[in-house]
Amino acid sequence: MSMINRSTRGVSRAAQRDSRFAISDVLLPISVVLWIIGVRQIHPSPVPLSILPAGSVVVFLAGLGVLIVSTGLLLVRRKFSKHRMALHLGALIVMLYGTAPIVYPEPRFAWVEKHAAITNYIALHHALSRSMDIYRVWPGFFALAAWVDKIAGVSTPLVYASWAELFFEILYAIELAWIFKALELEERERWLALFLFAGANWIGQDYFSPQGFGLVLSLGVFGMALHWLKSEQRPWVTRLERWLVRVLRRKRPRLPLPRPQPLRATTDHGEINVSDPAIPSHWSAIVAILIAYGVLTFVHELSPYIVAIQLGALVIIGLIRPWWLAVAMLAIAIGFLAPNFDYVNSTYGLTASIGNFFGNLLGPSVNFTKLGSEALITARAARILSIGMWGLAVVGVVRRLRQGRFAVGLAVLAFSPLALLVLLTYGHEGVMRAYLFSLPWTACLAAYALSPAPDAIWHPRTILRTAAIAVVVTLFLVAFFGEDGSDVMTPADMQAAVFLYTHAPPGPVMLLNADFPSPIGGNSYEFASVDSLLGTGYPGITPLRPTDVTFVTTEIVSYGGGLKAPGYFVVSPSMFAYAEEYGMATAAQCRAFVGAMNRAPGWRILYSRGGATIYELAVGP
Amino acid sequence: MNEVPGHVEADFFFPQVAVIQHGGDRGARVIDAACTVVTCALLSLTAVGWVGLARVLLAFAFSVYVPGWAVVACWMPKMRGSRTALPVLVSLTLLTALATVSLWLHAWHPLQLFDLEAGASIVLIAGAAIRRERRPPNVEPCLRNVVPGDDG
Repeated sequence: MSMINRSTRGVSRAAQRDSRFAISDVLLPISVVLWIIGVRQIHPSPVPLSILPAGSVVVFLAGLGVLIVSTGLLLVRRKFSKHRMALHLGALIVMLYGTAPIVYPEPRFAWVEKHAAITNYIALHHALSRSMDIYRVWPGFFALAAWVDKIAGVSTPLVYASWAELFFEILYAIELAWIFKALELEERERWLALFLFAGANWIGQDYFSPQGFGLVLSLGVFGMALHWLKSEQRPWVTRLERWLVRVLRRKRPRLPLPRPQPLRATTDHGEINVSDPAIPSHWSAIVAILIAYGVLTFVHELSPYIVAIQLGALVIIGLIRPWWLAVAMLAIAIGFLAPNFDYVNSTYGLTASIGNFFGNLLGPSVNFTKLGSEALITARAARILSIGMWGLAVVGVVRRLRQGRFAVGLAVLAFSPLALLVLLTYGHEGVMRAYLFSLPWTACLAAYALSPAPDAIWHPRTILRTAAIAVVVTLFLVAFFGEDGSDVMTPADMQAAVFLYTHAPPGPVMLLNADFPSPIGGNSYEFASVDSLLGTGYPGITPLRPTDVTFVTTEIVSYGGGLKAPGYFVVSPSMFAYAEEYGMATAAQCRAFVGAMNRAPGWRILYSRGGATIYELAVGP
Repeated sequence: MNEVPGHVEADFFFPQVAVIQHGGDRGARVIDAACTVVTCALLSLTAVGWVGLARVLLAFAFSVYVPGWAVVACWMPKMRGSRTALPVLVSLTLLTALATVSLWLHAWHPLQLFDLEAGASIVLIAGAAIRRERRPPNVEPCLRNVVPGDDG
């Protein structure tokens, strides 16, 4: 009993010692105050961050900078404080993902409105429609959103959709904090990995979308598998690790023999986090994983396959058992796709890109012949950040091997998503999805490469580590917000879309390009969607000429526009910005074309406000 | 290594781990109470048809956590290492499955579905709380990881 008392006293003394003042206790509030002031400075001028004058974001950036310095100091603090780190992580997520919904009057990305329209359709008609395209096959996210709307008493998800990025990032952080406890990582490495994930997730898939939601479920599947089904690494993998260590030649191999991996994680103080005493039985765990995976299968078309690839890779090296779990997962995903394969393949050409790994490796910018300065800088920042994170991950693998720690499992998780690119291009977004699913594990290895440990504040290692975080966040800011000049819908776009889909009689609609909040509203699927004029459907259109008006008329008429129903052609400020940024048309070409539309026979201006114009091809002979 | 044989031995071998006599799981009680309040408040607001920010926030709080906590508290009462992540996952999985299946079956009745889910959550949480409180003291010491670096 006396020993227990002594221990308890010791613990409380330790707790008292730890409650001492830390520099971060001052820096964190300063950074938050600076961020609030910075956002208030930006807020009165609701224009994309990417096109704001540099001076107006100085205070915002200063707030972010102070937060990063504070985080760097916390990581080297002798008494590591996970509560302080949690506050810093929360602040980072709010600053990075909470700024846009405060600053912008409308959600980022035109796709948000499309997803909102599907949700509204379900809420209104209580059914799915063939006009929903691929979303009809994978309706899970939209069904949930429609259900939430009804419970929340809102008529459209656009009420809260702007906040989806912040919401999903918080959920990712929660899931990842749990997952990382199953990995052989020190406490500081885990927290740094969480920071790196939040600071390097530039691809913007976390908006109001099935893929954003799908990642939450995917991480949950990983969490359950890694916590509950973890097993011994196969002997051949350990032999491979030993061989790699010999190749690296720095140290003699001192890898531990393969051993069972209990649910245990040590911290850098050497204490033991006692594992959950109640792990579900083997079969319960498998059933729970397959249920979550099954739901993921009808939420998003791609995520289940990447999860199966990653867990399958872990099964091959023996870290997850039973072996048939990956087979069961693939069977669920393929079984769900099979009845719809013909439709999906004919629409999206699934089989066309099989085997073209290097072609599939190219990002979405390959779709455009010429990029504007914003798009070019954004693409470069994104590429540097992605390659930099993967590079840091490689350094982390090498360091782990040299230090005799398991590395193959994390390396497999980090790099196996690239296998997806052997199979499909996914509209040249496959590489972005591979990066997204690689990022949690890449962040772990990168955190290991940066080796956070108690250190002096002015030690070069401390400065280097803090600088590395700062570089990651800086590249993120460019890659994430860089294209907001065209990604963010203006109020003029939104008002035009609402007018068209709520006041105009249904008919075929053609857009100048896809950068428009369309369709929108529960009844918008009554409007036939014609390929956009500058989209990939009409490659001969660029450069845009005034004579293309005739082509627009012909296409609209072929959909019945002007014959049985009115037809519509829409231009808007976001479309002009997008066309210019991606080399589809210059501002002068757009102006000339709009002038020709204004004079075109059979067409009249139905709506015009704030630069957005809806042309109507009237019914009649 | 995870089995701690007894109080004194545990203290000797694991000086960083405090063995605390069973005094009830205060954290679980707080979560139970919060979930019950959220569910009852949301049920009331949907029943009277009140709309506003509070209802939106309550709807999200319920969707993200409450059903999942009910399931975890009921079937995995000792799962203390994941009191946030696992309930979030379970909640979203269950609610997505139920909403989608009701859509596929052309049985789209979101409010009735919510009543069912809220009722089931309350029943499961109450059942789990009763079982937890009935557990005799000292049978199962509660291991808490008291870490010097953990400033909680």
